[in-house]
Amino acid sequence: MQHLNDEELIAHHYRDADASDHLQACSECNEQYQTLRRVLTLVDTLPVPERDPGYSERVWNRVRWRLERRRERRWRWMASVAAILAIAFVTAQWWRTQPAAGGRQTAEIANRQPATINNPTTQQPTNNVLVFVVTDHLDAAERMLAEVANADPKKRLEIGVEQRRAEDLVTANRIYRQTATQRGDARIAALLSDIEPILVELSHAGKELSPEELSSMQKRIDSKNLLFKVRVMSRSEEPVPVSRVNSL
Amino acid sequence: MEMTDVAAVSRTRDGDAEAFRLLVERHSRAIFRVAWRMTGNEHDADDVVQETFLRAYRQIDGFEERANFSTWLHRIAINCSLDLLRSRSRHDKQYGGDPEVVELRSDAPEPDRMAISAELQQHVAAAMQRLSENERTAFVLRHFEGMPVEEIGKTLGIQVNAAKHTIFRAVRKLRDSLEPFVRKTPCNT
Repeated sequence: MQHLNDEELIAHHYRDADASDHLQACSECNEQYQTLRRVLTLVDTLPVPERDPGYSERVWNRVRWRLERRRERRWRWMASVAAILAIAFVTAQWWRTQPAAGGRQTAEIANRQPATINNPTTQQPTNNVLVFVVTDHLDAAERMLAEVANADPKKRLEIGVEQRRAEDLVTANRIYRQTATQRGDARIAALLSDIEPILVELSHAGKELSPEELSSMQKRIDSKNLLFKVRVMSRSEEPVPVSRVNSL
Repeated sequence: MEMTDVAAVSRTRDGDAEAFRLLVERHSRAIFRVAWRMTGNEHDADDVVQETFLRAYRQIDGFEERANFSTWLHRIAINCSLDLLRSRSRHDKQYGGDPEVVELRSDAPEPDRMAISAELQQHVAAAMQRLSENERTAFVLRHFEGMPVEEIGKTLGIQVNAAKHTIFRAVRKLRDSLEPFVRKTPCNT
């Protein structure tokens, strides 16, 4: 009788092959197999280091922290792009209104062809750019307002990360408000004027809001129906997908 | 009623971070076990656990609800471990190995570790350390994770036959190192 080799014994152990009949009939191979089985059982007994009861919590905290850092970096990048777009837009508007050669030329053309310039279909693309950029901004502002509005007014609210975000939002909000005013979009300008004081207050707050500060801010958000207005405005235009990460 | 993994995944996709926290709480220890067996080092295993959940969060849209979340997560952990082992291997080739890095044992005196003697544990740990990186990975995947040989081949980027032989070599090495001890301990039969 030909004996089983190592590979056949190992394959049998992991059920990749069935050598049961041979092992029943051949005591020598069976002994080899039992030795192999004992070795692998011994390997199984090597204990894995235990983790303490707070392990999962620590893992979660580290994961959350890394996700927040990533979100912050991404948000800063988006804010920078949005700010550059807005600045470019404002600069272009300013250039058009200057009495320099190019500006005069544009003004003359505008005077000669008022119907074309004032035609709403020709203004739409620039309005769409503004609306698209503002929608993104409003999404970010909505998340911040929602965090404040939904917090427990009896407890202190930690806003360390949000405070830095609020600073960026204030800067962007001012640029968008001015642009909207210049573009004559009173609806967006009014809403941005309404949310700006709240963002300013959050950007100047410390690392946390006291229950009194929180309650006062919630009342102001509520009295002006700000959250609702922001939601309506950002949903009524081209929606911009909000990343899951931002909900952390 | 306790939330299922699939429900927690669905809520995570909707932006509920607490649901993902539940998944971390539920699976972090199991992921640590596979990471420790793959890397042979507690610190590396902790890093792998963290990286696994980060990748899982980012790739959660890719999880198919028909699949088992734990299996999916284990697969990510295995890939993270392999990435770590490969980067360490590259680093070792460049700068020379750190003898303290590979340490498949824990110094913490846990009660269940007393089941086999400290001396025997050291022999088992030493036998595992003698396996090459590929051998240990293939062995852990086949022996502890129950992964089919074909899948091990795919995971390691090698042919099925090569994967099979890597497992055989690992088992043979372990048997050669540990056979004297199992002959001495009849209670293991």
